Amino acid sequence: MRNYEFIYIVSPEVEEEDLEGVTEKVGQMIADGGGQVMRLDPWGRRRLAYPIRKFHEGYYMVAQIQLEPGAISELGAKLGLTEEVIRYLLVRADERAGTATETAPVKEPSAEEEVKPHEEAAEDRGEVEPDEAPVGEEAAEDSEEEELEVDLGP
Amino acid sequence: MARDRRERPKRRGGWRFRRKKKCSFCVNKIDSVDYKDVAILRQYISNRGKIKPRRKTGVCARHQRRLALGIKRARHIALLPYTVEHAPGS
Repeated sequence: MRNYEFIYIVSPEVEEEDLEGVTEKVGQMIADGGGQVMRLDPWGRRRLAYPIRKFHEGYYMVAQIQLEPGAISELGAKLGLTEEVIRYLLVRADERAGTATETAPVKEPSAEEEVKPHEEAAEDRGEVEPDEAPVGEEAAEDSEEEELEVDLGP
Repeated sequence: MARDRRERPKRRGGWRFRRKKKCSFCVNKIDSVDYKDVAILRQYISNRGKIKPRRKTGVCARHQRRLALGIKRARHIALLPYTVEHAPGS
């Protein structure tokens, strides 16, 4: 048994009161594969970032499930035949735990710290918003281009 | 060869205004990137929906890899766009 995060989108054509039927149906599919739904977190109706099967909205269902790895393909096949489920994503949940152990944050001299120790040290501890960073970068690139022109000019 | 002897124009404040960038995931001690966290992921895609290069965002290599995976997953379940639609208001 393995833990998975299972997220699926239910078609907006499904009536609100029929949603439970769909979740039961999906739950049954998981049970058929020898798994079980540990937790179900319905996000409700949400706008899709792009249309799927010409739908612009869908009911998001986020479930923590346990499933036998061998049963995944079967589940996928069944979901493919399920009209109400327009998209799903199954991701290993303990993947997170795995990365957590491998990432020892501050103390350990991790790879990227070794690469740029001078930068780390010279820098004051100011917070850098990722949104602001590109501006600086572009400015720098602009000045580089300027220089290039000056170089070739005379 | 005269060109060689000519002094190259000095860098006029070449990297001016360039702030040192730091991986905000490292700073905030987030080690895995959650594909469900659209608010965070949105900061790392351009307004065309492309994943921003880490040269622009300052994300470290490790987190960039995880970030890219997270964005791709989020795209799959339509939390993020693959691209901006050409016909607006469909």
